[in-house]
Amino acid sequence: MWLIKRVTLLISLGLTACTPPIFVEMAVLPAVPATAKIKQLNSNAGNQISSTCSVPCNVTVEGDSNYEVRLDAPGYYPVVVQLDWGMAFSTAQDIADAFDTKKNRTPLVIPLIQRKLIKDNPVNGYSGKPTQ
Amino acid sequence: MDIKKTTSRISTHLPPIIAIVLIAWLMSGCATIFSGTEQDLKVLPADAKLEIYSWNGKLLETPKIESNSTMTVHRPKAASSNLIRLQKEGYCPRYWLTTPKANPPTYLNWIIGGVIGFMIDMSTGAGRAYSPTEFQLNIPETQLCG
Repeated sequence: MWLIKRVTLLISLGLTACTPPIFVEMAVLPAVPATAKIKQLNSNAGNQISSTCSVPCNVTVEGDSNYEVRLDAPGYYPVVVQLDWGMAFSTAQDIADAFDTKKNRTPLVIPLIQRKLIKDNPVNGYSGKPTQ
Repeated sequence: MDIKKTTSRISTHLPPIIAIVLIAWLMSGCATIFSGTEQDLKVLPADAKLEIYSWNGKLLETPKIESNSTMTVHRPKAASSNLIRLQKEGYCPRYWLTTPKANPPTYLNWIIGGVIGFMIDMSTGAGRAYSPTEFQLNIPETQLCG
């Protein structure tokens, strides 16, 4: 029993050490004032943890966690995306130029759609370029 | 006499042909051979516009519906997550962040393709697959989109 507890503890510590938090820098395109509401979907406390910030802002993505991010910008359709650590980690590893290794930070740029302009200009003239 | 000549020709030309076929086989990744570099995605409604963006907001692909709500896209060349945006007039647009997954045939490289096979599958994108594969707009714009 003691051995099982020790092994479980070691595995847990190892997994925690292997999954450092990643800071996802939320941004929108075009760069308009927007608010991000971040809801952690699988918190250990049992409750859904929520926080709000003004975009651009950082979302701390903890290992083995899922989040729902909702972006609201006046005049644009709201955006709701599900984000997890695996997505942020694999992207951070893959896009070296978008990943600040010192700060474990990677930018996530969401292209918004302006309300009532879908018919006339579906892509709103987005260049697709990041806002950095 | 003719049979001898034919046999001689075959014995002369067969080894190089076999060698070329073997080299071609070994120089291709398993997923590249078995499932190709393209993947089908299902979109509802069928005439909705799907766009694939990179994580940092660059537009990568705007595929067209081919048939029966299905569109063919190039498999992701990078291991990073992409952003998929679906829009259609009269519906609230929806967004998905994709989860990078391995395309199962790429595991056959453990048996025949080897490291070169894996590398080829990853470079062509055949070794990866988009997940999810079905995208649907389900909220009419009359509900003010949240």
